[in-house]
Amino acid sequence: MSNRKIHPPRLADRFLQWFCSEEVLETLQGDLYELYERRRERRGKLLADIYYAFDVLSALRPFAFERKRSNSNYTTMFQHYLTISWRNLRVNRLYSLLNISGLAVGLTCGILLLLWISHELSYDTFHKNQPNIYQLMRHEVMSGEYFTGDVTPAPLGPSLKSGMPEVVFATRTLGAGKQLVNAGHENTYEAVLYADPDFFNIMTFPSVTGNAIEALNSPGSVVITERTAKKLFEHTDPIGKAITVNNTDEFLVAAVVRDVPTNSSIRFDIVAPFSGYEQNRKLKWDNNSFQTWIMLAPATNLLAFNEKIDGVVEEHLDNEEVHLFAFPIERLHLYGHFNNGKPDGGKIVFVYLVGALGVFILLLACVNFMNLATARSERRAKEVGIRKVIGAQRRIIVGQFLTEAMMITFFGLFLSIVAVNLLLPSFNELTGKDLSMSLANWQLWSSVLALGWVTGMVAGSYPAFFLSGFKPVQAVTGLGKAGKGASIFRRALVTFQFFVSIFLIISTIVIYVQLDHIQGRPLGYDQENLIELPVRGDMAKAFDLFKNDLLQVQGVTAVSAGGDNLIRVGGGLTGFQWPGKGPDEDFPINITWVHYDWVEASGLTMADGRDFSPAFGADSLACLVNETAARRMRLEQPVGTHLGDNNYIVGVVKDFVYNDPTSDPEPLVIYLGTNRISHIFVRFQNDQDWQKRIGQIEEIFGSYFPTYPFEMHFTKDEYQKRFEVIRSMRGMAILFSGLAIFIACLGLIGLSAYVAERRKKEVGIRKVLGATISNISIALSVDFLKPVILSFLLAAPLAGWLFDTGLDDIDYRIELSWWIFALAGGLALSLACLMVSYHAIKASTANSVESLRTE
Amino acid sequence: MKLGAFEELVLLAVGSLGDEAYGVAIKETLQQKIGKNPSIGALHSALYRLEDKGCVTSEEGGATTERGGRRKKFYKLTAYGITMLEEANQLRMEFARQVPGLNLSTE
Repeated sequence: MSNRKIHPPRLADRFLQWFCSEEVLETLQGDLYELYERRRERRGKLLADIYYAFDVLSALRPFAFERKRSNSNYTTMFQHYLTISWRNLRVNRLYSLLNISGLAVGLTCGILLLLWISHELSYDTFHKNQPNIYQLMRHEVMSGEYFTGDVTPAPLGPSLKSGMPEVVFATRTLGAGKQLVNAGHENTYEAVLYADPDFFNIMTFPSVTGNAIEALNSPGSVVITERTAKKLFEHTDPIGKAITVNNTDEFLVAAVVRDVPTNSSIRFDIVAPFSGYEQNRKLKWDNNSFQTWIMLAPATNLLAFNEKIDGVVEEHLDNEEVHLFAFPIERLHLYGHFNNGKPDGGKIVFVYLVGALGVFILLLACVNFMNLATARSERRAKEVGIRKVIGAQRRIIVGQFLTEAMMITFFGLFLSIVAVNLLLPSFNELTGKDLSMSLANWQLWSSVLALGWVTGMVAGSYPAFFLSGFKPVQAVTGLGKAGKGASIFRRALVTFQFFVSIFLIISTIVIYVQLDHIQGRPLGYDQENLIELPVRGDMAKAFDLFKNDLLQVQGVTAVSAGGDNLIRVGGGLTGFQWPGKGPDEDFPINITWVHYDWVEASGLTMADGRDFSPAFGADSLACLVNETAARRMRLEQPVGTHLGDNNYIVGVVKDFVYNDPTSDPEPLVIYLGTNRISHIFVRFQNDQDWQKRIGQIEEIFGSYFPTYPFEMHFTKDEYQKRFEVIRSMRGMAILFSGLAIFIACLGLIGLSAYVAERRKKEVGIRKVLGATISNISIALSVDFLKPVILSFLLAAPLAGWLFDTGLDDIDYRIELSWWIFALAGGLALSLACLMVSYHAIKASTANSVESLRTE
Repeated sequence: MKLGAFEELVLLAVGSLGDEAYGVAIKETLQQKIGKNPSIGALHSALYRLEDKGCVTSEEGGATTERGGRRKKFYKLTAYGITMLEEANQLRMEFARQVPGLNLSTE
């Protein structure tokens, strides 16, 4: 055969050359060429080509690339590190276990808190126009004080859009809360939001079917979320179907949008056109019930724009100072909190606190690692010495110990990822969030890896530099002592661990006691035996008859109704007139409307005067005030005093707790408003028959309002719901301070085991000379308790000062008493004793013969 | 270490070919003797495995003008390879003897 070129399919040949190692390529390609030639001669080029391609693919096996393995010094060295680390892990099971579990617990906290923080930071970031979206807010100035809010009048949005060229889109929204929604057969309550068509231009809530913007253009159609669609129409196509809101307003579903993400500040199930809401109402500039959102043209100067709109609302009002401004949506969730006109953080404070908590707990785990590694350094000293003698530079030994730390950290990381996935459901319940570790979230995973890497570096760096610093001769001969510096450093680290732990325990106790204090606060009315039925749609019309029938039920002592549910009462209003009011004097007063017998049904007490009663003809002009209102208006004889133009006070209600359960009561004025009721109150006798009674009430309810599902709340339960946030904070505090002390204890176990072993001979000699077991175990333990006591002396005053300042913001607060600190210190100290004493006792009961015979 | 069924066949082919055992030749022997037509990838993979196990040794031939100038790699049975073959054969024979009515005569 002549020496001519062989031309197999080029692509296949190139592929072969690409994936094959050189070693294999020569003979493999030779065989393939030979086969190719034979086939070409026998069967023609086409078939040979095809076979060739198949053969190349058939060679895609490990043998072809495996031999590419490099033999560089670095990889060999690295493999060696891993081998040594692995052996060390296996030899010292106890230490490995302590180290890995400490790091795993620390990393678990770290990842959970990372998830929480990243969810907080992601609020409202899903809007495509996010940088240009603003909410309009107002500073209202009263008696020189600034009150900031996000409620704006309805005409504001349209007037800005037409009058300001910078405003691209504007929408008003009104969150109407849960409304009765009826779709043929099903009655449910869904959150209804009224909005202008621009709502969907500004915000990113993508449509699944239909055009959401078009839908809001016609007053008769609505947009619903996928979840609502499934709930109301199951699997049928919802487009064009009719739904009824509150039995009165009928809409056709015109579009379905994706569910609102959990990290959205704006929440809704149904969006109905604002134009429809507006139709029968006269919404003027003095009615601040709506949110206004705008989208500005890119590159608008916010400062200049805010200056321009500052007086837009004010000019329509008399005698009120209102400054309007646009607040960016990207800052709304985290920074949208104001105090006297100045932004004062908001949720971002929590984010920082939680971040600090995570960092500290991780640091505790790192400290464990450092302590155990340096404490046991003598065991590795010979190894380091030999390595140095053979020629290892310090850099290389540092690398080795860092590798070891990384390996342990990544074991811990792996365990913690498993743990996080197991814990997430309960953590979600605790925090009321919907967090998950989805595999698709690469940012999350890369930050988790980064977290592991940083932890490994922090934990490993000190031991690495410490261990690599040994002098070879001393290390090998064993003459050098592990320096005094190292042992002081170890004590400092233990002190730090217990400092953090004790601080966290004190915080937990303070939160616990404060919450208890607030929950046990005397409310000023009787929450027991009181239920509340929400008034939906047109139910108010039948109230008088309904009330009479309810009063017939055995054991029902009073029935009334009101615009608010006793727990949240009223909205602040200014500009009240009362006799003796100074010219510059003004403060916001909460107002609410109630029905007859309200005081009796709520279980409030009158300080003076009387309740509203139909027995007095002109009660429609009467009003009640609470004690705070009477006091702040400086009314000496409140009953009979005229308030405003027409009203006069008929009674003073004793102060009761409403709105913020932690603050002093705010002034309140109560009017009679028989047509402004949204909650019915029913008071029972105090006995065991309440279940039967509720059944009877439900029956009566059904006969009056057959289309509404029966809803009922115990006012007491509703009140308790207000503490959910604090309760979840308390849960988190308990969880994380528990974990912190757990990690610190792990560290102590390790250190005490090490010391007990090192002082084995000393113990032996002491025993031979007549020391008792208790002498020795105390001697061994006391060493460790000193850092714990020192850390208590540092943590207690700091925590005391911090919490005393923090609690000052709360009107109804506890005083920090000594027992809180004593409990925290005692707890930490006794846990530490428990951990240390195990090894101390074990060492002191050991047989002296065994510890002394080898020398 | 045990031999796989395919590895055993390849080993037999290497042995029967003597000095001429290289990829294509082994492939053709397998095809002629037992009607198996392994892909070249599977064959090479098996050969490298056998080499790792120590059943065969390999030696590269001189450059040729055929095959686009690529060298052949010749395989040789090692003593260990022969032992493995014998063991495999023995094992099978012992097993087969327990089957009644099976004719085991080789000629």
